[in-house]
Amino acid sequence: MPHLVEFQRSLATDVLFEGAGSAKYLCEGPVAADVAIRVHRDSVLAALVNAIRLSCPTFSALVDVTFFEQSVHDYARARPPGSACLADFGYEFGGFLEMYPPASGFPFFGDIVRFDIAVDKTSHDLPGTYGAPISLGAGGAFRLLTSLTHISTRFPVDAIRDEVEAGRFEELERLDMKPRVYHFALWRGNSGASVKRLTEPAAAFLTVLLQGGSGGSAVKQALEHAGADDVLRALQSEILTPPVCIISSDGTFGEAQ
Amino acid sequence: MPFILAQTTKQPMKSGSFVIAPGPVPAGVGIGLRLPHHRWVLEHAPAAAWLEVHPENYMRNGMFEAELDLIRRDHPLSMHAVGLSLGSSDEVSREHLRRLAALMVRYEPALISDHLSWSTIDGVYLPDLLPLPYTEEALDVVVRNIHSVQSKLKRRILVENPSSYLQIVDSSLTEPEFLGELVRRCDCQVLLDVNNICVSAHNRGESPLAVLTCFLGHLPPACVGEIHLAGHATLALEHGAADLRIDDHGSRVSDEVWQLYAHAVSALGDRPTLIEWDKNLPDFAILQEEAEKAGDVCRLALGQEAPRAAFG
Repeated sequence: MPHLVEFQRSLATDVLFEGAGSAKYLCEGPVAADVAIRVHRDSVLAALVNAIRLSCPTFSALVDVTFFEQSVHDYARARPPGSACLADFGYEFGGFLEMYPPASGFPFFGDIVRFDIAVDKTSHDLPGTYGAPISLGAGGAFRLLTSLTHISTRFPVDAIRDEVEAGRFEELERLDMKPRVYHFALWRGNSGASVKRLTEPAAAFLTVLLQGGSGGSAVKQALEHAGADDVLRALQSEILTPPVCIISSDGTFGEAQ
Repeated sequence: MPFILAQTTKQPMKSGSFVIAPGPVPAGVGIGLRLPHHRWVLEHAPAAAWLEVHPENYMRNGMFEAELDLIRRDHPLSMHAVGLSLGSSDEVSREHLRRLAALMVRYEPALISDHLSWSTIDGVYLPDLLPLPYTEEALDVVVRNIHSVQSKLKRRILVENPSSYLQIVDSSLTEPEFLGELVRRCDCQVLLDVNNICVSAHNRGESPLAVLTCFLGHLPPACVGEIHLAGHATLALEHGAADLRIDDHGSRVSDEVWQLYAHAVSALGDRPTLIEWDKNLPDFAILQEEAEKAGDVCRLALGQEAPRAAFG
């Protein structure tokens, strides 16, 4: 028997890549070695396909089963999981699809997967918990939902997801698929993930805050995209509003915490 | 009601060098809790003796974890890991161990277990329980990894015999001998999966009862802290080859496994026993039926008249 590490590298390669290098370490029994390795391969790939299917329901519903499974298999071979927590698997799947030759005619797949994964992650967050106060100046402050996050895409992934969830696949052809920038805020509502489109100034404001910036620097960034009146309207209607935000004029927040 | 080592006491019990965990797991029949059953369990509060979860499903610190907080209030809990990769020549992932330790603090599981197998090599995780050669080198590696886990968690873990499909050349120990050495060198316990014994024996062309007898002969009875039961699939292979048994946890426990369970209980006495079901997950009530049957089989095997306390 070779060193354990050599055996394990060899068997892992055979399981993931359909090689035969481990044959010399195996003996034939009632079940042939290649059949036995296939049991492990099927188990590994089925677990990974299931993980992506759960986190990417829109992409999964949009493509046929063969394409879906093959794309996950190829992704797993290119970027195998590094953690036993399979919820961590798939964060690079969107980028992988954008470089995946069989998906070259579908440039929106990557965005759909990234959006699916963001929604999935948000849906598993806790609802109703707010982060630390952020100063508004003059004693005022606001707090954002801890689940609040932001994603930008080039395609209208929210509309695509809505149509797919409703089973209205024929409506997909009517969507404007010309690439442009879309911004979304996502947060955990009481019954699951909620999504809202954001304007440029609101997205810029939120991005700074989610990166740990101050309220003042977030406003400054928003003003790069619009005039003061438009920024104020955008922030009041898109970010500084319940349920994603609670505001206190004196910074105390009362019972709303 | 008899309890295994994990009794609730004001003074933590000790065995060897490790503190036994708080929170009772009665020597009744527990049920493997899967995520799709969370809401049902929360709404119906079934009187299952105890529940077992895969900790890898609870590493996001989100809704599932909050739901398990609520479930834990009403049920003793066991954690059955699939990701420690105890047989890997890689050392145990520090990050995975850190996450598991955090869950242990949060949920206070009475039992923590994983498998005599490996899943990780060179940092790549393959979600399956891959087989080990039962050699002295592998024994040293598993001993090192179990020590690492037990030192971090400051408690004993249980190690489960896996299902096997491959036969590896040059294994110098049998699986029961290997497990027995682990118990001796690590002060760990054994999770005896009776279904896995059945699957592995058939796939090696051996008698499941003979293999079980071999396990019982090599393992000190006191080291068996839990028994697992599950269903498995039988796949007919071409060209007159032997049937392939696949440990898919996708059906009721087979008659053959019930008989092996009765034999195990006769030899070991009452042990916490778990019904596992993963593929084609049925209603929770079906799992309760299987748990009740396990209670009946155990009671008959022990010659007891009174119903066993599988359910309240």
